[in-house]
Amino acid sequence: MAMELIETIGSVTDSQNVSVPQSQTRPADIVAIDDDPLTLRLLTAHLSNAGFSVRTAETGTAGLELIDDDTAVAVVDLKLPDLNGFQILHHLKKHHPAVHVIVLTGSGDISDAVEAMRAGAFQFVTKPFDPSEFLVYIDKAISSNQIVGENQELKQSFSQSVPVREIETEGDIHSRLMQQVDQIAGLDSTVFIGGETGTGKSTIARMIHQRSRRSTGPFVTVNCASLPRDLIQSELFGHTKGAFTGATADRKGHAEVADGGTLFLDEIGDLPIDLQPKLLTFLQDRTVRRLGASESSKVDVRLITATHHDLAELCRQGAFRQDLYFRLLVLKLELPGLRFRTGEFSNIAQNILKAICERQSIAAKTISDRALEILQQHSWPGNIRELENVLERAVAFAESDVIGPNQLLFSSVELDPRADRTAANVEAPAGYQLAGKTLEDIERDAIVATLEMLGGNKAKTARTLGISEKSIYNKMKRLNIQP
Amino acid sequence: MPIIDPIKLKNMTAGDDDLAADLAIMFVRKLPELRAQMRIGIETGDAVAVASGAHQLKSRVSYFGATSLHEQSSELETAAHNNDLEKMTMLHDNLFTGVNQLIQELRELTKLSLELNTE
Repeated sequence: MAMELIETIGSVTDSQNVSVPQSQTRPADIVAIDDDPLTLRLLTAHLSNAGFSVRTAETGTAGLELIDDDTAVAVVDLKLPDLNGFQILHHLKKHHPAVHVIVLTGSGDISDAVEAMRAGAFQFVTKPFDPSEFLVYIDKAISSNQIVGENQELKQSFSQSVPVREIETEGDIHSRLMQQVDQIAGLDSTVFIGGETGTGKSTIARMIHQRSRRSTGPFVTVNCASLPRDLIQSELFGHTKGAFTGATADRKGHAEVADGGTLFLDEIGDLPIDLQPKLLTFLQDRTVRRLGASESSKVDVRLITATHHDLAELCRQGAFRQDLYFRLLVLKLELPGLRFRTGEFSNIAQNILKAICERQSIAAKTISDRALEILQQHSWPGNIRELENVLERAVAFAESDVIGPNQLLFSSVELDPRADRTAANVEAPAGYQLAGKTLEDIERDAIVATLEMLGGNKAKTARTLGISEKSIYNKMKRLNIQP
Repeated sequence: MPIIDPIKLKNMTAGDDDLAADLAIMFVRKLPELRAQMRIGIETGDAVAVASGAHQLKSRVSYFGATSLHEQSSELETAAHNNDLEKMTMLHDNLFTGVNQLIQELRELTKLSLELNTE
């Protein structure tokens, strides 16, 4: 089992009685209509990475044909070659009232914005859109759909069918992963997701949110690696008017925007060390103080973090605070690289290919045996994301319904699929070696390992594991751990 | 002065180099059509075609954080809406000088050849 429990092991055990509904997914959830291919490519990338299913069209007419009962949100450009965005908006409000419409336009014309909102648009966004903010709008739109549910039970069941792209497939590793996601979703503890780039950390974070009691609240993603260093504090915690040059108005930070929901800090390993104490304070008190403000305010936020870095190694190098490390690693989920999933690879590739064809509204394609063989020999340093890119390019260059070796274009850094790491010579991630163990075993291992690390000091062990000294004695007795 | 703002581009692509490369390829692939539409629009006095082209270009360059080109495209779009042919011609020429620099920077950034089809 890939879950490493460090602090709330008791809670996990208790949660075994919690009924966690099984996940359901729907094939198509967001339809993007825009005549600009760059906009569609960006929307597809960000929404897919966030776990949504996306279908796209470059004309209004084609876009309307994609809208069906599964559609949760339509993202519509105002200026299209055939229809204009307002016509589409009116049509959807009349014929598909449950579909929320986000108007995305290159024109920042106030009158357009007013008209769009009056006509029932959920949000009016100007290009270039901010990917993080855009995902917040999408989440709000979907949450809003859920709230329309008639009662809590219905709402609960509906929230389980929230669009989350199943990038995985049938198989033991996938089943275990989904089981762990459900377990974690049933709790409210801080979660850390580890794994190489492209393994689907964002998707899993969103799944946890959508299967949790916070699913009707916002899910806010912040990529710590892509935020300008000078702006990270302001972006996370907000600022007051005049706090710095350019702060022309009070602004909420992402932590406040996520109030009642989940804050997902991606690439947490890239958070500058001088800002780490502020995150630590936030984790301890669940309070935020905007830059320039004199008072703090309380927020109710579940924190999920992820990184492809080895955080423990960063701690050893002094680049990451150890106290923050332990605060973040309450529940840990380690996602395996694609090269460790040889038994499932064929299904994963076929599923991704199917999703790409559906998204682009083109006839289904298959992968030839030889092409599949080449794909399987590749080391996939970019994991699922790289596989998606390779297959998307293959679809673009395919001359028939079968994708052959000639359509497989690997990125320039990985031209030779057999030249680099292969499944045979790379060990599985440490966390994944926990697969198949009981929670009790993991709890025992965590305590024994921490005791060993701290020279048998029970008080320090208790503090490190985030439990009381009395609890450590009780647990050692219950788990038959010799002092 | 560089046209591309690498921080904005990184934010837009979430640091995904493949995505950035795809955007660059798409931009260059679609550019000749857009350039022709705007050039012919100016030659024939078709301000609607120029406005439409400038509008599309405005969105596309913005994804690379090319703020200066975004502003120039916006000015050209406004000039076209006002049917100001003289201003359109001047802005068009300046804009495409900047666009050529953008392509050069995209080549360096993505290490792709990004050959422009000039037919």
